[in-house]
Amino acid sequence: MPVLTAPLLDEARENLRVIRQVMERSTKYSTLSGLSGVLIGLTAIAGVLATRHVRDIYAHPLRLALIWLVVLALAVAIDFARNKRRAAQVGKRVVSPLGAHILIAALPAFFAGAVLTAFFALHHLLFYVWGVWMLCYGLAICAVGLFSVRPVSYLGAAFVLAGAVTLFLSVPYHLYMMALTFGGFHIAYGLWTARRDGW
Amino acid sequence: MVVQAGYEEMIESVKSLDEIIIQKVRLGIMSALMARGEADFRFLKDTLGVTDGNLSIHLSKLEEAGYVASRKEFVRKKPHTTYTPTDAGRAAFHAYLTALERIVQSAAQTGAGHD
Repeated sequence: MPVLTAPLLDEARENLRVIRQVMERSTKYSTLSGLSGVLIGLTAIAGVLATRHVRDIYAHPLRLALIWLVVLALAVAIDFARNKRRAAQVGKRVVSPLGAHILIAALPAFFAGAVLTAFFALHHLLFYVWGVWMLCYGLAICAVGLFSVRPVSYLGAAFVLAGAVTLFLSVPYHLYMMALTFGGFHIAYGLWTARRDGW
Repeated sequence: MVVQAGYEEMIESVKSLDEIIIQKVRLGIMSALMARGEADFRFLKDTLGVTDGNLSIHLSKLEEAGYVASRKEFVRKKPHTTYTPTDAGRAAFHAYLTALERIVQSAAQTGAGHD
């Protein structure tokens, strides 16, 4: 009897695997919605404007940290709220095992960014921090891209490349690159996602 | 006795498998729609890695069976079709999933998985 049932079992297991795989792949698309991308981009541009507004910002690392921690907190809040709403619409929870994997994958790059920022602040080199943020954020996005659709990896690669370029530009251009990447790249990605999957 | 009961349960579960959903692409379509609530043609094509023609054929079969409903609209003057699972489709998917799980459980009872 086991000889007869083994192919059935294999087929059933294979079908369960297909279901799990497709369902996981389908939810990957919702990690950054179109609206989240645009709002996060606008928040980053506001961060750049606030940074430019503070005179001699590099002499006040705490002010710089405060501005960008607020930007980070707003970005996380926007994405979380939007994902929660989207998940609720299809009767799902926003916190999932996949979400936990994504967070764990992104954490090392964020940690490296935080350590390098502290190091640069300590050695009065904060004017070089923007390119490093782009590199670290790009690496975090590349890690997230491993669990996600290919355009997320492209976004990560774009940040890494922009970070590498920025570090070799003269310092006055670095903040413009911040607006272009954290602002422009997110907005572009958000618009592309909205056009493809809706807001 | 337990082995016999498990074997019979497995056969019953196999017989109850939905003939529409059992096809791999259609199973993929239903899984994606159940996960997202709705999806457009392009999303399904990219997620499942199938051709336009292949996807169209299987979506038509699911629509004919009453498992999927489509909504056509124009976005920037281009046709855009969104698919959603119907109540019948949701019920069929859950029944199919339950049958698969029963097969795996029954096989554990018969010892088929340890060969």
